[in-house]
Amino acid sequence: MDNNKETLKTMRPSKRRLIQVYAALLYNAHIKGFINGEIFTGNSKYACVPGFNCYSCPGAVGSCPLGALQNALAYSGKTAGFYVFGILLLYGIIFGRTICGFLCPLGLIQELLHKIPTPKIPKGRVTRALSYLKYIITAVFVFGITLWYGIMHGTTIPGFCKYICPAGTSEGAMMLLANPNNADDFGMLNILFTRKFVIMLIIGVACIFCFRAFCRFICPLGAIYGLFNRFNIIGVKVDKNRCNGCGACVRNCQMEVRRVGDHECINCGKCMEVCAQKAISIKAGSITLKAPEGGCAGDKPGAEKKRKIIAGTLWGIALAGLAFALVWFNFLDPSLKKPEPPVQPAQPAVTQEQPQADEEVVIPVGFEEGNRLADFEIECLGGEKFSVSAAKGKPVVINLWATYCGPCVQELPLFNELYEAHRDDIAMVAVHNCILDDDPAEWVANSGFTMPFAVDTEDKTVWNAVGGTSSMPQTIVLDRNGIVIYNKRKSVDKALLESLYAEAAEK
Amino acid sequence: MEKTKAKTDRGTVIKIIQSVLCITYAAVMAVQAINIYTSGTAARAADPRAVIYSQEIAADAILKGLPVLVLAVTVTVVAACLGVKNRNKPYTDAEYTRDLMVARVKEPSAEMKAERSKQKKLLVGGWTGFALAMVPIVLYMTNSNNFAQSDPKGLEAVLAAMVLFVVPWAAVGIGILSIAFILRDKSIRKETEYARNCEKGENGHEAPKSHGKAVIAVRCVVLVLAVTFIILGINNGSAKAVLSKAITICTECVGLG
Repeated sequence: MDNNKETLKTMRPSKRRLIQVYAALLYNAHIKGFINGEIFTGNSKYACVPGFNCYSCPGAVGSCPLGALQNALAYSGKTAGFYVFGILLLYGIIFGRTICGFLCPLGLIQELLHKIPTPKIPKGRVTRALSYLKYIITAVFVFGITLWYGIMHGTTIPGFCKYICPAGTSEGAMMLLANPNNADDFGMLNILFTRKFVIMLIIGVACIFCFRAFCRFICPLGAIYGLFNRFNIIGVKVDKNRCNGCGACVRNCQMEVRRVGDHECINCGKCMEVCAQKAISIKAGSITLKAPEGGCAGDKPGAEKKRKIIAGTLWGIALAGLAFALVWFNFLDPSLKKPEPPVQPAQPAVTQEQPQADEEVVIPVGFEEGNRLADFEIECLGGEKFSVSAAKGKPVVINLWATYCGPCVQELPLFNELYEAHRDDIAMVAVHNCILDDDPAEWVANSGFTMPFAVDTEDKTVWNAVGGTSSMPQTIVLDRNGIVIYNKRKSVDKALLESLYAEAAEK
Repeated sequence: MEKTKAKTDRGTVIKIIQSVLCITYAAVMAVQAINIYTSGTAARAADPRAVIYSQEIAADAILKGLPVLVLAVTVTVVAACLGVKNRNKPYTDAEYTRDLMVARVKEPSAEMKAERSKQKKLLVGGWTGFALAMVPIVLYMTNSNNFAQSDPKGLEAVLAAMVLFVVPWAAVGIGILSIAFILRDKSIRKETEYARNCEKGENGHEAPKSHGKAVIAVRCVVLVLAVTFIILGINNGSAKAVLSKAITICTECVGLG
């Protein structure tokens, strides 16, 4: 009986675990997103969350600091990313790597994976050497690739996200693909997904055998926050008057620390349990957040009780905040109200040209393949107008893109090539998403493309007409009768574009 | 005593089974993903509109890995019921132990100094040897004549020649480095022993540095800088760029395409 009680006691989650779960829930409070398979588009995404949490996760209500940093670096040729740098400095100086220990959902997943009972790889010189790999990864993938493509080629290639990030694969891609509403997105998957999926599996297996393998060897965010660990306000502190230098803290720590609070320390506070001198505590400046058993040196009588009352109050506020966040991000946020689809004027029944058939086939108006695309008109950057009705009789190609979307920019030359090849018998427009203040006109002027470009209106005329979503690129092809023969969110290649044009031109 | 040993053995067996299951599951899923991609690419070569992945194909792949996953979950549950736990082995790095011991010594002895000097020489020697062994590899790789052939048969020959040249030199480099590290470890252990026998200082241990005024000053400067940057960012549009990227699915970030 006593044994059972003891087992239950050891299985009880620690306060740190509860905080980790709380943070993961708070970052992903948009539960509706998991049900609908759509990402949250509210203004809360102005703010970056402190931990590693993909902003393309359907539940995410904040931005990923690493994704935002790479985006800012890619834009550094145009706009200095002060905002992201400021956010990282703020989180770094307040928390440092305490974020890794308490506020990172990926850290939580890694720790849970490590709980699977298998033989474990202890830390040693090899793991110590590997811990420097994350600095190389940060330099090459976060800064090198992103800056190179951003400044030299004017495209946004988030190197780490694109080639490595397991959070993007698991929280973003897999969560989106798991929803039946996004079945079409499978068509977008290619070598990039295969590679990232295999990388995610390798990292997952590594985390089972090696404590926080991703955190220790790969994570660029940990590498960046680690630089602040000597100065962070909230974290593990050592009472130098009590410490006798026995080294029990470092010997029992599973991270690559050589000193409590160094750049590898995630401030989890596990060392407090093994410190016989009770010299370690978690502090915020001079305020003790978690004291060793028996209290800190210089504690006033009743300090422990006071700490418990404060902790209880903070938990109460935090839970109320979580409840509010769940209600707000699922029911009340203004971004949840979808704009009404544009009202189409009454359309006469459209018949397909089948001279032999007596009965008329009514083609519904819509953006699905086989539908007749609703008419819309948009002004191109050159001043001319593009409308579906005016383009009737020609194959129509509409491309939804944005300057900050790497794959979109990469495929634009293919569209331009197609346009040049069939200039007299094609109606084409590349429509830029209207969510940035950044004017794409300059970019287009410098690109040398000859095909027509337009920017969608603020009420998203084109996006609503063609069923555009928050993922890009998207290509829509209409045949000569204005019937949609292709409407997919995926990158295209030359062969596909040519075959689509041939099909559209035939009809 | 016997009961404890039996429990430990049982735990070890469960852990090994679990390891095999975890690796097998990951391998099955990785092979499935690669298979889907290769067969999908072949289909796309014939028809540019053919899809590589689809919901059905993915579901089929997941089903293939399901038995291993179920087995792994079952073993985890059984292990939890039997009380099998992961034990954290304490860090026993020779260099770290040496540092702890040396920090307690009042005055390092001549033997300790000699060993420390030997360690430095071994470290420099090992890395120099490694770097020297890498020189022929670098020269080989940078010589374009070694990679001149371009037809498929020639490519195989080029790769074979490269491997035959690179592997021995790499082995020499790693060998030199390993020998240097083994000898250095031996010297470190010796130094630790000498340190153990030395006279201890009164408060010789390396006490953690206190957070003095300098740290507080750094905190203040960084905080001010952070707030300034955030305000500048809101004004120069970089905050809006964060939002615009975050509310649009970054297909590259999530590996969609």
